[in-house]
Amino acid sequence: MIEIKQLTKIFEDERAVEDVSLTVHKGSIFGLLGSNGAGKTTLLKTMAGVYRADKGEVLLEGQPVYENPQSKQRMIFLADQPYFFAQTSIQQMAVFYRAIYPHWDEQRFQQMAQAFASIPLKRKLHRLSKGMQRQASLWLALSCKPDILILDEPIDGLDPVMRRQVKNLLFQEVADREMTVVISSHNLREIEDMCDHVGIMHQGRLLIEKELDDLKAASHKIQIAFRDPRHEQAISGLLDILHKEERGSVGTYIIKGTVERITEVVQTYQPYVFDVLPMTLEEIFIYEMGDAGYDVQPLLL
Amino acid sequence: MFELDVRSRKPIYEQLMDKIKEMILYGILKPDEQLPSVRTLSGQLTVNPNTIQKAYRELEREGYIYSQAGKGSFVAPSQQQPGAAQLAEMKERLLKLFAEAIYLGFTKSDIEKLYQQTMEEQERGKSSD
Repeated sequence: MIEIKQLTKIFEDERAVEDVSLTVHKGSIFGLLGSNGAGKTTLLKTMAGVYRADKGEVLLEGQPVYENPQSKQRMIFLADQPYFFAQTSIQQMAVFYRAIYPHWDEQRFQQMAQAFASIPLKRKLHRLSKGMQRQASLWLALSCKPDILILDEPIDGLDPVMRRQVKNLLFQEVADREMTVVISSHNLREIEDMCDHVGIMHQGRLLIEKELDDLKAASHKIQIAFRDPRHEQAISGLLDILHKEERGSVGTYIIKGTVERITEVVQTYQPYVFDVLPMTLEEIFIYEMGDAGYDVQPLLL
Repeated sequence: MFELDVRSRKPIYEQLMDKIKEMILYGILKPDEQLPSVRTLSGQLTVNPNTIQKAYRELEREGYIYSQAGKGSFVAPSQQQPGAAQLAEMKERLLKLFAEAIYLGFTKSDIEKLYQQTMEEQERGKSSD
């Protein structure tokens, strides 16, 4: 379990992360989303003990992470830019990782060669493409058998086959030994398929932190064609409408609340058309960001 | 064994529950038959194991399956009394479908025939146990 308590990280006078509290449970896959420059990478790096917190703390199973080898040997942080020593091959990097991480599993490393077959064991890593370097860093990370794996935009840059391969490898570790995964990405579809919990950040703050299914069930997209325009007024008094769009006689609404509650209220007016759709993560993201004052500007050039 | 639609708006655990329920109702999964382990299914479908765990947990709560510690999950012998919410939801769905069918020109006897057909298929599924 990772506990983050009132964490603040300041760079000069820039508050990159401000008063963030968050708990990631053991064995869960946590997706961190956010606008550009929201502080995701800073949060991840502070979680991994790369940065020192200015206020608050990060605890791994109750122990601090920063400058604590006991905690750090159990976690791996994969930065958005893979880093390898100059002139090394994957084999040479493996020797280094084996020396640093006590839980390194040589057999696992050999077995995974099959999954990452496109990476030659002896070729210099800096000569490989971006996607292959990313694969190499995942290969090394998973061979260390970490309890916590922190991934900063890991999937971007992998082809669909490898993406599936990597996901399967991660899921296996989660199923077998309850590895905890924290993952940031802009690719919301990817996060939606992978994670069970999500957090949304904006301007250094954590706007939402929830189980993905609960988040999706908390608001709904609804299409209604009313029998009488006055019915719409009546409904807006009873339900919490976040957003509304009208096309002809059919209105699309984003409403906070459970399906049961919304259906109960709307059905009393017997509309011509009534459809409740679950929200996609992308829609949730856009509406929540809109609430926080961050939305698409109607700019035409 | 399952096909999931990751593009669908429906949560994956609900899709999974629907598929398993369907397989139990049509007799593809027999009573006391073991369901694939969370790990196996996660690998086959590339779905987060926690999501599969959740689907199994919900199915157990609804009485479709039971689990034995250390052994796995199994299909429950007989369907218990369905909950009121389940019945209401089914009614809602049927009403919508009937409305559409009537609009498309289905008659009462057409719908009765379909009902008959479904019953016969279920009987056949059960007798091949």
